[in-house]
This record gives sequence, C-alpha cells and structure tokens, in this order.
Amino acid sequence: MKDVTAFLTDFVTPLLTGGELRIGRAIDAMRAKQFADAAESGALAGDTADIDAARAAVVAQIVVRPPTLELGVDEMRLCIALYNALALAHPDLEGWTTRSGKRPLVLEVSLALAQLPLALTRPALLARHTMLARLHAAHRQDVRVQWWTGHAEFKGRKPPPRLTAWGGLRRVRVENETVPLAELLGFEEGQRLLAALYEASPLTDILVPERSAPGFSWASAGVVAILRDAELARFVAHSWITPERAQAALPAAAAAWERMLSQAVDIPHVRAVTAFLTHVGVLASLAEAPLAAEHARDAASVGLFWALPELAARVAPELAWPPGLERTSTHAGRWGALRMRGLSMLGPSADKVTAMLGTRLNP
Amino acid sequence: MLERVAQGQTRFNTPGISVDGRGVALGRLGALLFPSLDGVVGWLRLYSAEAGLEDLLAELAILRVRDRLKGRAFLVLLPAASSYVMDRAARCARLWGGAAFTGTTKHFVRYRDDRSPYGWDVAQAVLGEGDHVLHGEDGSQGYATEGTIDLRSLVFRLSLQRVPGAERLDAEARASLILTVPPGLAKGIIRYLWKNRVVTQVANVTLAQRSEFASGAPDGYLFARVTDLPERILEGFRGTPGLTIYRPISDSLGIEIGYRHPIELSSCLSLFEAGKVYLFSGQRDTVDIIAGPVELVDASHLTQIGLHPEAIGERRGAASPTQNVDIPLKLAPSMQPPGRVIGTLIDGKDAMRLKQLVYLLPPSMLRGHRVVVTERGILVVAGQNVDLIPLGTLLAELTPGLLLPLGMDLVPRVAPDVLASALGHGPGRFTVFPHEGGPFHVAESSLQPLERRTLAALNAPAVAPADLSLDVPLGEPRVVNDAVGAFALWGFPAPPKPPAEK
Repeated sequence: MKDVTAFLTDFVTPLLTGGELRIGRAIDAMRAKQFADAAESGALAGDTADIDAARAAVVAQIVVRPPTLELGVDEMRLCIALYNALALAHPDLEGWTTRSGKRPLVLEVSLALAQLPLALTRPALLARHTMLARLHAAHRQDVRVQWWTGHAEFKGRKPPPRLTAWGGLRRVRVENETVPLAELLGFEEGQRLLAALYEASPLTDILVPERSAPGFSWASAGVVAILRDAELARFVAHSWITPERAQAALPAAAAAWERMLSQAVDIPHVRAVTAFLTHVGVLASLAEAPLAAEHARDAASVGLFWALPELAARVAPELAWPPGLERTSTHAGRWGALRMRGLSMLGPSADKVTAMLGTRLNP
Repeated sequence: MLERVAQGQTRFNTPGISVDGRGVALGRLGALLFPSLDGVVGWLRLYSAEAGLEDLLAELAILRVRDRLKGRAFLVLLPAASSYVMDRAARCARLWGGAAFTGTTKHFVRYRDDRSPYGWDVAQAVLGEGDHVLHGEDGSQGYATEGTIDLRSLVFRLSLQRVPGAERLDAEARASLILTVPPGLAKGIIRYLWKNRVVTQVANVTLAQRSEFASGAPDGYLFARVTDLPERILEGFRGTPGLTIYRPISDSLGIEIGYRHPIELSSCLSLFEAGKVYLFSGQRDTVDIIAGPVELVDASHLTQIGLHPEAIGERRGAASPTQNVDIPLKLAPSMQPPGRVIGTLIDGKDAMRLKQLVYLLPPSMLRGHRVVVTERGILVVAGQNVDLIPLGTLLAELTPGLLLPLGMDLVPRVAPDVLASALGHGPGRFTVFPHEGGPFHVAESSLQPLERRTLAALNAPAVAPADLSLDVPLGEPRVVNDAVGAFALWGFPAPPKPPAEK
C-alpha cells in the first residue's frame, strides 16, 4: 500500500460500502504509525467523505440520535490489522521464497495494532463497530480454470483472458468459489487476528454470535457495556430475532451462555447476560413462527435458549421474568409454553446447567 | 294376476312390453296413477327438483280418468326412454302415494319394484275395458279418459309458496335481480340507484295479458334489471309498497324473492314462450306476462345530473400527491360504531417520537406497517390494527383506501363508491380526510415498510417532505489480491522494541 490515501480508497472505503478490497504487501509498524498519525492529525478529513457517510448510515440504524463519527486512530489501527490479516492470506505468500519466517513479525505488529483500550462507552462501541460492520460479509472469489492440457487457480484474482479464450476448442471449464472470511482467515495467525478484532469491537462481536470461528464468548467485558446501554442492547436483540437470523443466532447465544458458566466472570456479568437472554426469549416468542428444534442445527441449544429462564428461575427468580410482562397475558402464556418445551428438550442436562448457574451466582 | 319376470325372459303376455338393456320389462310409455291432483303436483315437484322435465315434456300428458266404479283418478303418461327414467319416476310417484306402470298403448303392467327387480307380466291375457288398462297385483282395472290437464296452465295456476328467510339474499343471489316499480316511484328509484352506483337497466313495459288471477294489478310499470344490489338497499326496497323484487330464473322468467314455485321452473323452461317475460308474484299471487322483447337501456342515461365540467377539470389537475381535492364535504361526529383502524396520521412535530417508538418495538410487531412522510404529516398504514402506535390521529377505513379520523363521518353522506368516484380515488391510492386542511391523497407505491432503515435519517424535529430513508450501501466487501511478488515479506522490519524498564 503506497500511502494512506490509497489505503483509504482501496481498502477502508470498500470495507464499509462494499466493493473490491485491494490486498497487497503487509503494512509494517512504521507505516502503520504514519497512517495512524495522519488520522489523528485530521489531515485525512478531505478524503473520508464516503467513509463518514457510510458509518453514519450504519450508526443511524442503531441509535435514535447518532453521534458524529470521524475516522480516528483506533479505527485506523483496526483497519490496518484487518488488512494485514488478509495480507497474510495472500496466495503469493505460499511460495518458499517469501521468507515465511517473517510471518510472526507481521502477526506481532498486527496484534499490537488491534490491541485497543476496552470500549466501554457508547461512542467508542459505535465508532469501532461501524468500521467492521460488514466484516462478516467480506469474502474472496476464487477461480479455477481447467483447459485441455492443464489447470490453474486464481485466488482473489481474475484469470487472464488468454486462459479462457476459445473455450469450446480448448475445452475450458471455469469454476468459481466464494471463500467466506472465516475460512479465508482460517489459518492460525488469521484466527488470532480475527479474535483480536472482535475483542476490540464488542458490538461487532455480539452481533454475530453464530459465526463458526472464532467462537463467540459472553466473557468479554465490552459485552456488559452493551447490555447496560438499553438502546444498543435493544438493537442487538432486534437483529437477533429477525426471521432470517433467529435460527442460528439464538441457539449460538444460548450455547455461549452455557460456556460462560465455566469461565471466570463475575456475578454481575452473569446476571446481566442471563437477564438479557430472558428478555430476548420473550421477544423471540412473539414471532409468527418461534424458533423450533426441527429447523435448527443445534437442537440442544434451541432447548437451552427457551429453557434458560426456567433454569434461572430455580436460582435467581428475579432474572427469569422481564419487568413489564404481565403473568396472565397471552404473550406470557405463549412464552411459558415455549419455556416448558425447551425444558423437556434439555432433559436430564437441565439439572447440571442449573447447578453450574447456581455455583456462578452463589459461590 | 301378475307373475315375476325372470332373468333373460324375452316373451311377455302383456302387449307392447319388451326388455331393455338391463333385462327390465319396459314399454314405450310409463303410466303413473294418482288418486288426486295433489299427487300429480307433488310428483312434478319431486321429479323437477331431481331431474329436468324438458325430456319428458314432448309426450307428457296428464289425464283425468274414471274407473268402472266411477272413481276419479289422475294418470300421468310419460315417455319411458329408459328404465333409469322410469325408476326415478316410479320412486317419486310412490312417495306421493302413486303407482307406476309401464306399457305402450292400452295395457300397462306394474313397473318393477323391490319384490321383482325385472318387472312384472300378466299371467294371462286380459281384454279389459276403457282407454287404459292397468294390471296390478290385485287385479286389472280399466280407466276411461275424461279429459286432459295442460301442464302449462297447471304451472300458471299453482300458487307460490312462502319460504321463510329466503328474502335474505347473499351476494351471489343479489348479483342480478329484477324490479318492477310503479310509475309514480320510477324516477326516484332510478335516481336512488344511480346515486348508489348500482348498475341498472330499465324499460317501460305493459302487460301482454292480465294474469288469470290478477285483481287490480297495474297495466304497466317500470321493469328494471339491477346488478349487485347492496343488501341495505334491498332491505329498503322490500318494505316499499308497490315495488316488487324478483329473482331471475332465466332471461325470461322471474320469481318474487321470499317465494318459490312448487315446481322447479328451471327444469321446464320450454313451457314458456320465447320473447316474453314471465314474473311470478307470490304476494299478489299473480303471473305477469310481459310482451317482449324487452329492450333495456342504461338507467344512468335517464338521470338528471348537475355535473359541472369545471369541477371535473379541477379534479383532474389535482394529480400532485399532496394537493387538496376540492370536494365540498366536511367531517362530523359519527353515530355509527367505530370502524377498523388501519392507519394513523402523525404530525411532523411528533416525528422523533415515532422514530423512538420504531427503534423501541421489536420488528415482529412492526411487520406489515408502512409509512410515507408528507408535508401534511406522517401517514402510517397497516393491514391490521395500528393501535400499537399511540400517536397522531387514528384513521378508520370508509372504503378501501379512503381514510377518515376514527369516530368521524362525512356529511353529506354519500355512498362510498360514489365518493371514491368523485374524488378520483381508486386502487393504489390512499385518500385521507384529516381534521384540518382538507383531504389529500398519496400513491400507495410511495409507502415504505416502517422500520429503522426508513426513518434512520430523521434527525430534526421539523419534517421536510422528503424520503427519510438512508441510502445504506448494500454491497459486500470482496477481497482482491494484487500481485506482491515472490519476495513479499523480504525486508519486513521488526517492530520497535518498547523501552526497557529500569
């Protein structure tokens, strides 16, 4: 990447608005510092109009009164870290001449860039999330070309026209494959960098609990900051319970809750997450076709999601019933039936999870 | 004496009897013997309800006969086209206390029954007296013909039967009706029907002949054929003296609603002369025969309407989505029960409240709601009740797409269809009558789903008449690898070491 302006044009802007993320050589620490200094000094103000507009569009859908966002040091560092992660996945680095011994250096620089102070305020949470809001949608298009005497693979590149010319005569076959980000960064360094990015942006982290890797965890400190901000928590809940995502997001969130019970988190943290999932359960029960085990990949987690308030009621009843919901209402009746169904799906493991929750809340 | 016909039997003692395809003994004619005329009418009623009489009418004859002891009876002769026809005729006759016989000219033998499935035959030939000899199980009886009864005159002489509740017609039955209107009411009725957008065709008719039972019936009236008559108008017409409503059986035949003819007339339409219209009235107990052909004209050509071309011109000019429609109507509190609330008109200054509400409620509760922002306010419309949005003026639906404030009505009261027509209202448009500022309309296509995205750009309390949805880019980031060469990581510097702590 030649300079910071090219970096903004070729990487940051398409990361936010969609388009081609141009990946070249990894950015070293010195240039990363130059980029970050440029962002901090305000020298990039004239080049970030598209970026600012795209971020404003994202944040406007999250909160009623969106804060003004400008490209700062933290956001620039996150973008460079992501760029370097993708640079490590560059196919040209697979050759023996690339000096793979330098890869740990790139990883070290990138991890340092992604290591940011905890985002505990609404502006910080929103600012970081807006940079990575479309992270889960990023992908790479690989093309495999076969012809009568050979074949070639082009990862994130277009095959030259000479290879696809005279398709009939040369019996050319072109196969396209879309590689999602999780798979693209499936190598060890990529996974560590991706985890660091999610840790730096808790809102991005919590919005995609169903991702395959790195796994979602409730243990992050930033998660509690989101749950304590009613508007952000509401956005998270609403995006989870959309019909397109509920089948995957809700069981994944419940499974992560169970994992949290065996992690070192404090009691208020467990209480906040449990109360939040209870609230989400009520909202999800209002759907026309509430989540059912038949359509989910993880039937046990579906049962856990519905049964979670029942388990919480045995240990801390105040967490098992959201304020404002009348016990005699039809909504409560429907939710109660789903809770019972979830409990029956859990079977004997319900007692085990209840014991774990009891240990966490009453050590 | 009779004997049972055996299976495969081909020779019979009764003249004119042969077997049909099923092996049943059958003559060319069937004869049904009834002790009274009630039986004949009952048989006609039963048979016409089950099957058409048209096939039988050509040779159907109803005879008044006497036996040797001068006892009177009625004999119905019908063509026995097949044993299936005779089976149905015999079954209907037995239900009314009649007996079924079959034969060809004079001798008729008992038709088959449960005891002898292939029919009956006489044990030995009997001469018999009279015009028709009926051979029964208990003997043979000759009957002399006294006279014939014309089926057509029988049909006209029968009184209609009152059917309780039949005057309440469903939409399908109201699709086409016939009215006879006394001359004094004609103009008013035509105007009333036109105002209510009822498609009406009318003709002035004179009666070809008075019904045999008519007493003081009018010599002429307005004959009107109406399409899709609303139920409330039908209710009103039923109580109007002199006005009779008929249910058309065919183009030339109508029966007063609430009554039925003992015989199913649709099964014997050939009894009625073509080119004439027959109206059976149950209340007056008459049959009006209108000399045809009846030339109908559209009633709208007969109305006296004061429409001004300038007003139409103004309406046509009101194509702008938020321009007022200049119709002198005003809102007044309604005494009617409140209608279904399907929309709300929210003032611009409440826009932020609406936005907060949209961000607060889960998407599942907002599903089906649509919104459009105009300079007159924010219109939210839903397929079902919108009472979950406690903002603005709740709007109830007068007719599809025509929205009034809840609890209000328009005066002067005009039929919704007429009002919609006058406003230029139609499918794909919402016309709103707010409390202040006159009506306005918006195209249905301008409404967007009510969700965060729609109101995301709403920031200032003042609402401008603009699209408030943000143009959020929807493209996906796609990784494209530039060539970095075979020595990409050569020279990658190590990160600077942090200063060592002393």
